Amino acid sequence: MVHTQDLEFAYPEGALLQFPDIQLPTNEHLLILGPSGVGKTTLLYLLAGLLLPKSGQLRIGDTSLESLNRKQLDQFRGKHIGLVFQKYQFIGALNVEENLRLRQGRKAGKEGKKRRMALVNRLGLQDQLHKKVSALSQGQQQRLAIALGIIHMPDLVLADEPTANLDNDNCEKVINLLKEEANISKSSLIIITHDYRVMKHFDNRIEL
Amino acid sequence: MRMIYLAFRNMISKPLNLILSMLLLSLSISLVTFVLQLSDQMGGQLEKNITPFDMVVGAKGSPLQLVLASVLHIDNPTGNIKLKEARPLMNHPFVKYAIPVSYGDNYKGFRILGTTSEYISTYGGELAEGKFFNRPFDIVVGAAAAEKLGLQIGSEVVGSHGLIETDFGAHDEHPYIVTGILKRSNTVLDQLLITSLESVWDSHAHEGEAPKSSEEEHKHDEEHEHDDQDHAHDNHDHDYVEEDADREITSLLVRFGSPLGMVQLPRYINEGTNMQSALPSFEVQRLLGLLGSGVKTVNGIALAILLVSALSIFISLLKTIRERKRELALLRVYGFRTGQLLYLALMEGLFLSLLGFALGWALGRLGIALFSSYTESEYGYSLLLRPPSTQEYILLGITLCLSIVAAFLAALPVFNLNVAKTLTDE
Repeated sequence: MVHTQDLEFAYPEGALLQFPDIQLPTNEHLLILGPSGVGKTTLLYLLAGLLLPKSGQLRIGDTSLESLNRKQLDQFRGKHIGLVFQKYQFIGALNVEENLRLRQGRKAGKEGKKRRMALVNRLGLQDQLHKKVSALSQGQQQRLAIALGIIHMPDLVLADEPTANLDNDNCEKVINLLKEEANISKSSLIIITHDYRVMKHFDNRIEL
Repeated sequence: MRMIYLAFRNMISKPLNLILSMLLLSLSISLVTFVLQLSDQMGGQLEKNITPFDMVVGAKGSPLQLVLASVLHIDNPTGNIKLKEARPLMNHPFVKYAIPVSYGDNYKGFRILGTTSEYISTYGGELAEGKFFNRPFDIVVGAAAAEKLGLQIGSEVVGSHGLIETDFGAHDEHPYIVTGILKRSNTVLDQLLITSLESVWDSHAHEGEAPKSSEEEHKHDEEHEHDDQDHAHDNHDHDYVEEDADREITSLLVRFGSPLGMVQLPRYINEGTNMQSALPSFEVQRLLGLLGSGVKTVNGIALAILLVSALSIFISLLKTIRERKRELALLRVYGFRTGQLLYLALMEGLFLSLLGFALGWALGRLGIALFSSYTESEYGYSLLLRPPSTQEYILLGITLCLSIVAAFLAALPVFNLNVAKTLTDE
């Protein structure tokens, strides 16, 4: 599913970042570990097509990201990639359900509604649908962030430090949720973190 | 979910912001539409009311006052003229028609005008019910006056001296009887109570002779009989009470039958008689010219406010776009293109200006409605609540263009939006 080779990236005024090659089969999970400042988030954005590599190859599914123009890249990312942010990102003017519908896109239809209801039921958000995002508790926001990363059934889910600032119990719950949901929507999952508590949950690991 | 819905939700998510940036816009729009409507309708009504007449002949004084008093029924008359002096004009070859009017009384603030039925027909007035006056103290009432005063056929109307309502000096002895009510014509007719010249003369002749009370009834009866005959006569031509050399009228409203009339008569009257002539169209133009410069000033101020309001929309959008930078970056992650983000900002600006325009327009009309009740009670002129005019559509176009430009400029940063950096930055 994910295949990178000799991936390099340089910020305008920064040092050259080189990343180890990644080979991740479909529906598999991968943990990328590393201390702060080694370019973990940069790698995540490269995989999401939000940054363009200086050199190297990056393929997701059958698509080489470097072959896409800007517009195609936007479309590809919207359809095939889901992001779970370290700092949750929502549209403040919309309620919970509307945030989810926005992520699903206009063509979601009835199937989309079924998918949405099943997902919010699993995540325990069914009673929060018409609330503003800002009215949710921390834990509910965390779960909504996961839902937003996965509701459109992407090929690849990228999670950036999903367990930062969580106690052990919640850390475990979040990782399990991510893995379960990735399995249900048949998505590959890459988690990027400096949280070594997560290690034991993944067989497939890369250290930066 | 459509972008347009998101734009709408974004807009209403900060009501205080919304109200602030809409306020200026509404203010300028309401000012412009109010002033445009006011000058339009005032001008239109004045024009309509003076059309039947080319010239007014009355007592010497201010020509504008003469026109305002005798044609538009706003001001007080300059005085009276002798019917005897005016008569030669009525039969003058250059004159198509000349209608004498006489007044001095009011009923609850509405003017009682003595004239001929021809006066009503020059304004195209038609009866809604009843009949025209043909006996003394018959009176025909304009639509607005009838409605306001609650008059019906057969109602008795007692005039009071002067043109302004007072508590004293009512002609108790001589009530007018309402015989007809006119259809609404949106002219001065609506606000008038119209009777025959003789009725007005009668009620006043009567007053003048008040001390000779023994003769009063007698004289009065005589006049009644006489007037009955005279009226029958009156319907055929305009030879008024021949024996009445001392009869006075307020003014004579003249329509020329020949362009030569315009050239010769005003000068002849002003120089050769004790009367003055005034040309309504000229005086009204002069009046509108004065109004016009006021209108221009107010419009200038309002347009300046409009520019400032466009600036405020720009600043408000710029601010919200900065505040929502992360949300815009998130939309990019969701697969929305830069063009769609621009569309989102433009839509929000467009909503804002449409809403502001609608509110401003409504406020302008509310102003007209409030002002109308004032002008109606003060001058007998009411303003209509009209659908949007062409000028207002143009104003809407200008507003939308300005707001689109403002929104576009405010949204320019989305082109340089660095999604990765925005999402990473705390």
